[in-house]
Amino acid sequence: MTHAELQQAYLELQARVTRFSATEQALINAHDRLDQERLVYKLMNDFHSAAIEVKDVPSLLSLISETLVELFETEWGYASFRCAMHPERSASHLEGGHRGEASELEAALRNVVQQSAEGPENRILEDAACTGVIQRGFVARRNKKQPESELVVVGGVSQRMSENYAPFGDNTSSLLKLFVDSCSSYLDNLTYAGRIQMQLETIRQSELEQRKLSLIATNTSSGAIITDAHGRIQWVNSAFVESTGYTMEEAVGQRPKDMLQWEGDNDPEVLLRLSNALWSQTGISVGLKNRRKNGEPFYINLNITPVHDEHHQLINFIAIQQDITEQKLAEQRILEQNDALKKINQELDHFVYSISHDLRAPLLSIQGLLGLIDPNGNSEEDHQYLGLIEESVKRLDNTILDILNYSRNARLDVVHDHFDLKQTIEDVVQDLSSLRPDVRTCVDWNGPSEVHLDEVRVGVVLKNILSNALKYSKSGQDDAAVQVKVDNRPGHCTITVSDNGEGIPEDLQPRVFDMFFRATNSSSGTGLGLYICKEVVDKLGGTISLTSTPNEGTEVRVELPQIPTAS
Amino acid sequence: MSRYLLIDDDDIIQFVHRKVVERFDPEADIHVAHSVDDALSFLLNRGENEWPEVVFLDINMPIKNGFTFVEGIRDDHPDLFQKLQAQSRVFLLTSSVNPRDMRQAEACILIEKLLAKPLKVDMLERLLGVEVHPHPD
Repeated sequence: MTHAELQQAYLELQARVTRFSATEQALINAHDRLDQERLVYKLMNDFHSAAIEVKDVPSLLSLISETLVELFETEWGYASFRCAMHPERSASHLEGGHRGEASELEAALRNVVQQSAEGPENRILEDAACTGVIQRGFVARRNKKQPESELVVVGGVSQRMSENYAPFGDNTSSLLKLFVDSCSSYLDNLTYAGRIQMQLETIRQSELEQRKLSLIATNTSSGAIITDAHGRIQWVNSAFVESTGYTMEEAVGQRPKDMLQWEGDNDPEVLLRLSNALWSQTGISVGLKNRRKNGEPFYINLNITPVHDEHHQLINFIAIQQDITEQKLAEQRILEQNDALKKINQELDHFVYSISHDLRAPLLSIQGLLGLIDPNGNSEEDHQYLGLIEESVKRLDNTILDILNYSRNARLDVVHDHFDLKQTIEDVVQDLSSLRPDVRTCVDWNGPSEVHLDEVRVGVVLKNILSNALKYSKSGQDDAAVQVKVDNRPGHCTITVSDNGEGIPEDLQPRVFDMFFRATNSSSGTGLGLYICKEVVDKLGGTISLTSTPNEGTEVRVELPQIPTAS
Repeated sequence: MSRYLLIDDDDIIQFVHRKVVERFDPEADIHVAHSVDDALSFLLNRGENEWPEVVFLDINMPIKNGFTFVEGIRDDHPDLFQKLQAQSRVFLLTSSVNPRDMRQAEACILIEKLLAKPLKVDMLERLLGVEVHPHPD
């Protein structure tokens, strides 16, 4: 081996070594690059899986900035790589803090930087404790000048230079581009999704409300009208159509007043109140008489509510009209019937008085004539006949009087008055004394003699029960007596009338207050007396009861409530 | 002898009443008026010593009833009203005692009492027994 040969071989070896170490360096670099890319890829992957879970913009921004910090820590070679690729421009730009458009990505970043240098998101990124690493970090918002380019970009530049840069390949470039794109779309999604969701929710709510409202408005039995601010109909519900006979098409654009109200149907004062309320845009509730399309009147309760928008501007009136025709007509019918009844009652009253007068007048004449007949001028038989005539006339007269009393009690109002009951009882006893001159009547009194009761009715009751007591006292007995007991207390008055006469068989007692019931054939009664007493006492709010033992006597007890008065 | 004026449209009851009064007071001077107008013209033509001391006035008469008679005299003939008030006892007669009539009778100063028909001798004795006897002159 010659020296030259050795020299040659050495040089070759040296060249090989140099080549080998260059190759080795390249291999090392490539390996580093791969590691970097794997890291970036992993970072991206982590970012995506985290970002997809993020629900609000601030969390997304802090996630982005965290990712950026890590990215720049990993990929600080990015800037160095550029420097290596474009030494002058990159270096100068870096030193000046700006960068030129080395690539599409760079151009995009620069655009973003210019647009959002003062944006609030800028601060967010700085706040994210990455200022030491990042000279300038930006999160771009939507480009306001060009609304159609809805680009949201996150970007940043690492200032720190390193000797240990690794070549920045296409893979990393597209990964970073992808990262920027996805950041922007995540942000977009979040902001839009939030906004859309909110809008959707609002729409859903108002739809729901509208559906509910329109369900109510459509299905309610009350007529509903919506007018514009000038009172012209915009919408009516089906109940309105049904009750007025106007279709929706006929109603829209009209004023309800022109369609439904006839002149003279309503009180001018009510109409004035209504129009005043509409002018002053306040709500009102009134009763009105309206007309259907066919002219038929109907009555409504109208409720008008003005609707204002958020600027307090009147936009609608909503009118709900409730058909009260049935009630109104029923009310009217009742009033009419009441009037008719009152009239009938008055006529009946008049009729009863006239009839009783006209029926009684001839009876009274007969009684007077019978009284004039000379007891000595006739045969005994004639006397008997005359006595029978007198009895019949009296009975007929009593019947008429009873009917009169009954009808008076049924129809006349109770009139409470202060009067001397003692005097009334004495008058009645005096009046009836001719009935049985042989029977003694004594009155036992407890309390004041003045009462507060219906004088006429009490008189009727007293007359009836006293005449019964007298009539059924045993004849031909010296001790025959009728006792009247009065217990007059504030609040109520009890009158007891008892006799020691023939009494009433027990089985007949429950029926003594029945109409036309007579407990004995021997009586000349009408069968109405106690029935009328019961009716009268009922009307006075009191009670009447009868206890009787055959052959020992009968007691009638009347309890009447007294209304205490100041006088 | 006392003077009586009976005012009633019903002839039969009028007859009965006249008889009853005659029984009560055999020397009675009885004038019968069949209507309110009759009675009024009778009263208008009374001389100084011909004025009736007792008047029986029916309530229920056609056209003008007892109350309208009293009101008519009060409004149109105050002199007669005064004379009646001063010199006569006026009783209202009715066939059916109506609470409304009772109240109206009580409210009228001219009317002494409301009586149920028919008149009877014992009734007159109770009412007039003491005062009405043959006049002292």
